[in-house]
Amino acid sequence: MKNLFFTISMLLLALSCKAQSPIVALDTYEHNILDGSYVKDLNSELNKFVGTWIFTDGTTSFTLVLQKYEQTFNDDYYEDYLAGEYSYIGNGLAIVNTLPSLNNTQLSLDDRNIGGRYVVKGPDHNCADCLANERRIDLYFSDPNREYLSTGIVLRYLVNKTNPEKITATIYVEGNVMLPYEGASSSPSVPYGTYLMEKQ
Amino acid sequence: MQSRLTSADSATIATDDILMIEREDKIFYTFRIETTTASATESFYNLLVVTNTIGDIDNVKIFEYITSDVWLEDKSLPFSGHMKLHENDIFNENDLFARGVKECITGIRTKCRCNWDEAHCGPAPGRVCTSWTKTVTAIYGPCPPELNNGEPIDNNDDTSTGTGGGGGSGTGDGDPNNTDDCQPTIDNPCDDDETAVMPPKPQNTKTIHQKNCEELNKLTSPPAYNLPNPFLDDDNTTNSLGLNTTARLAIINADQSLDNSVETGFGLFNESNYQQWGPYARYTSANGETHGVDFTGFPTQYGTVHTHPSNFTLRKWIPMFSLDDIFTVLQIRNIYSSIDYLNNNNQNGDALFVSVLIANQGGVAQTYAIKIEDISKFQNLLNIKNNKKKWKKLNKELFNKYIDEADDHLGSSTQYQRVLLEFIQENDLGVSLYKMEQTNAGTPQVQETWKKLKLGFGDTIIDSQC
Repeated sequence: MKNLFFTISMLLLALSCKAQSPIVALDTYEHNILDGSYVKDLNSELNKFVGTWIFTDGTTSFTLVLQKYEQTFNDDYYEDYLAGEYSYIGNGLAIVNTLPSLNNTQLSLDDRNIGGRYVVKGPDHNCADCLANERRIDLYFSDPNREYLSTGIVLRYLVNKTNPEKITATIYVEGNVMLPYEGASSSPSVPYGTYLMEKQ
Repeated sequence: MQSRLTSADSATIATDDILMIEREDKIFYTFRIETTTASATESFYNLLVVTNTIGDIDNVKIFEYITSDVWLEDKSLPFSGHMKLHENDIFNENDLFARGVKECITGIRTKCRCNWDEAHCGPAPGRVCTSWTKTVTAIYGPCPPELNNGEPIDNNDDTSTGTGGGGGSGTGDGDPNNTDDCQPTIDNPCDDDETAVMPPKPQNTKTIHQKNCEELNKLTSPPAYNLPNPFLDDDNTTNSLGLNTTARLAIINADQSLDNSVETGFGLFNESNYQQWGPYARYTSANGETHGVDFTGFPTQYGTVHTHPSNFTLRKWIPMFSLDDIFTVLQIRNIYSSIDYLNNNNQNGDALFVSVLIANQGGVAQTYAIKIEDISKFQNLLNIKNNKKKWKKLNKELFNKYIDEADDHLGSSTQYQRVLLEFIQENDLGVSLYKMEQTNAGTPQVQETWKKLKLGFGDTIIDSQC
């Protein structure tokens, strides 16, 4: 009886171990992540960026609203994820505003105009003053009026700016694209560049 | 109905398949005749060459086969229709079997090329040859006296450069009562000919690799199209900067702009009347903000040429294709293929479309091309592109693989090739990678060749020459 109990216990333990998703860090390279893994925000790096952030310069403003989602599934593996929406007012004119879709409960994470969780290290993406071991977060940045573009946004948390908290958001070109017609814009509605943003 | 074959039909003898029938002291060779004008739906032609056993040509005839509707409906059936016999007034008989007149095969040399070592097929420590190509070369020389009535042949006065005849198989059951001196006419064909109908091969039986090679060679061969081209004129509206050029010059001169701080780009175009003028490369300026080249989706554009500079003042480039570069080929293909006029004149289908990249890898300028291998797989990339989250994930996969396995922007050619080939394979993208090389660089005899790169065993990269 004792042996039977031991055998069953070991069997359950083995099955339990096998069912566990391996947990890997947020900065694990994409090609090294096994299917079924969990890419976990072990050091809560994404939490720093959650909230509403605003850049203002006269009558121009850029607003970001970011939310964190835990253990979402992307058809290959699980991951902690940052997603959000934005608005841009240029010289007093509303250029683009996707913020209302935050209230649309029908939308999935795939439909968000900002999303990702990818760690960028060092001076990549034109961050000349970034330290070699400094970690930033890279997300896609989609313009609903120019979906043909391939654009990213890199978020850098400024550790010395605490009251209010500040980040920089750098909008950059991810790759060259095919423009749908002659004269179509090569830039998103929010111009390429780096924006200093304050937390609200 | 097709009139009889004339020299104006640009007839050529196809030598890839040859039917050979031996009977008594004669050999009957049947060849397909290919023409640029004859329609295979109405008629086709075969050439019959009859020789004696030492290769002297006895007579040459042209068979015209006029097809029946029954056979056209099902070409797997035995041929049915009418046959006409013509005297040969198209091909010079002295050019046929040029070597056969005074030369014999005096030796055979074989060369084996293994997939891991082109030098030989022998064993090597720790390596196994899993596939190989064996080349058999026939060595020609003067025929021995016994084949020439005891007279040795003086080969010095034979200046012919023709190639030898091909292989084939067949059997003959001819009438032994026939004479050898029959002179065939249309009204009175010889009845002792041994031949069989060789219908035209189905169109475009070339492999995808052959088609891709053909189109790549067109890009870089010294103008295989007509010049001057109005789209290269300074006053042409598409040439406002005066930098339009030929596809070849756009590709081979691009390395001169690798030190620029912005990309250099050309769209490859088949404009209206391109059959008359041929393709050209239209200069496309870099975007002032991104320092990259964004091509516009013009219907007549069939490819792109662009650089990834090694000057990192304004933007850092990985010196290899990005995911967006690859995707551009699909976009171009889908736009171009929707135009009937262009589609109908496209001989090689999806093999036409291309993205050429010139980048500095490990201090050396390299030229690569992305070609379509399997369009149904390639189309799946559209679904990923339409999902922002998945597109970012795939972009990151390639970008991080370059950083991790090719030392970011400082890797070697082999590292970048391997990363990209693995990425293509793991994601089953349905594209292939080709590399351009130059021979006699820096001389007037400079020539470009292309080869397809593939993953080999372990860390090796193997190639298939075009």
